Amino acid sequence: MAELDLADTIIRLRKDDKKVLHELFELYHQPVCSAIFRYIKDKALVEDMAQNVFIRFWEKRHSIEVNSSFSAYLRRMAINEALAYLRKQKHYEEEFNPNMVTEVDRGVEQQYLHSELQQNVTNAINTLPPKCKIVFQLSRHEGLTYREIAERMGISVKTVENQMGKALRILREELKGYLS
Amino acid sequence: MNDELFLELTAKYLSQEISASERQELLAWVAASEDRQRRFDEMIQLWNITNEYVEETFETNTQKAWAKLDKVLDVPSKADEKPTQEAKVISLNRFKIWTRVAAAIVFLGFGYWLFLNPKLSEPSMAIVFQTIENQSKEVQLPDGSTVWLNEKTTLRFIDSASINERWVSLEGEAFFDVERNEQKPFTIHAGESVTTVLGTSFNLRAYPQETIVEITVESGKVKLENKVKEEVQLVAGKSGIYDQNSKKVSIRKSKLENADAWRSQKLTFSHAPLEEIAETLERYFDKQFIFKNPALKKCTFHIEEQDAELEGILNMIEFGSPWTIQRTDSTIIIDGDPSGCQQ
Repeated sequence: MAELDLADTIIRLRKDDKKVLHELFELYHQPVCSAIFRYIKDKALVEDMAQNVFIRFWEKRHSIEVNSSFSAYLRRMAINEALAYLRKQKHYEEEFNPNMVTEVDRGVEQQYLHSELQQNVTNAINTLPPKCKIVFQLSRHEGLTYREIAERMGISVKTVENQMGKALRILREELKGYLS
Repeated sequence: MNDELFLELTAKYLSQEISASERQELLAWVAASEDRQRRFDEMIQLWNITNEYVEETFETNTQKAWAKLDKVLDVPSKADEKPTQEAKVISLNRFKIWTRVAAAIVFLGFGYWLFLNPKLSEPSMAIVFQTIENQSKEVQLPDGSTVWLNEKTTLRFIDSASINERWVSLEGEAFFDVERNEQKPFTIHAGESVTTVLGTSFNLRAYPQETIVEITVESGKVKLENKVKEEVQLVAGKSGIYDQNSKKVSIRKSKLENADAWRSQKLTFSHAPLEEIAETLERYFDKQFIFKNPALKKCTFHIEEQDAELEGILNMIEFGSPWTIQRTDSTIIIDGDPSGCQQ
């Protein structure tokens, strides 16, 4: 997927060139939706939140500072959007939570998994309890620090530590066939 | 240490959240038995493979979503539009979004997106070895070669009957002791450089963030080439360089001393100027050297140190000289009078 030229795109954004928003939308609407979908399993809500991400992005186009790439920037916005929503809804409870555990049709995506390892790792991570899974992924896959995770989720750093330990315990069991 | 604490500390270690005292506690505990080391190794393997996670895909109709957003924003693309008016329109519509428009969403097209797998084109039968920060590891490849991996290194190895080479890619630094097989050359791909050997030992440093790929041969013969097949031949005692910017290969004028000190823990400087010593120490101990008096850089020292530690070497330099060496967390500051030093 081609990235737009960073400097050029920022200049165009500052000039209120709406065509550039369209180009960014074409490139990153799908990834932004997927990033939110990781945490929110309500499809209509995901669409709304993705739209909101692009609206906020457009609103702050004059002050925007993108260091690495628009892809990373929008993705981070998407995750913040999802976490802010969950925090507001207090949806971090471990008990049954319809928004978090709705089973999605996995038939199609399975075809895209490229190896047995990827499939098993993905399945293993998906068996983590909701809160534990979010903590683990924010650390492992989004590279957030424990403090950042605690702040975004409205929990203590100690809880993040516990959940990370718990995630490793479950994953060790789920993936023991790959460990020597 | 119970399993719970072990896992929490290991998680902190792996995500680089661990404090110095916790690190010491964990590593000392791990080092105390083979079983604990095995358990710790398992966790590192586990951490590495969890990178294989594939994001769930969300199918959506981008065109339709754009039409909707376009309507909501309803901002003319002309740059001369008054910003105040714009802001008003947006805030009003933003409220609307949260009232959840009930729209039938047609799921067309299966776009998919793999965030975490940039190397999809790579053949799937590769064996992967990986180290994280502050970790080094000795591994055996199926062809009988031995490789020592320095920290933050990824090595992929492919050897199958259908290809006529032993294919390796390297990001990071490793020392190779390659099993001789003249039918199947051993080729290492690092950046856009290719190193070809039949059976030798050498050190190869290729961290993506550094501008050069550097190879130092200990025994045997090595060929280093770039993408357009320009090549240099290196024999034992020689160092070669691939420059990531100019894309050129060249032979280093002097051998890079101590290239594999990270593995051997041995540092040797034979009457080397302090400037050169500082450069090497900076690399291995992650400290910045500052010479308050630049003339000191030319003073030479002869140092041979097993199990090299920074403090030991600094003591040797300090010994018998009237210089002062200040140590801070990130810097070593040397000051004094160079008269009387060997040059």
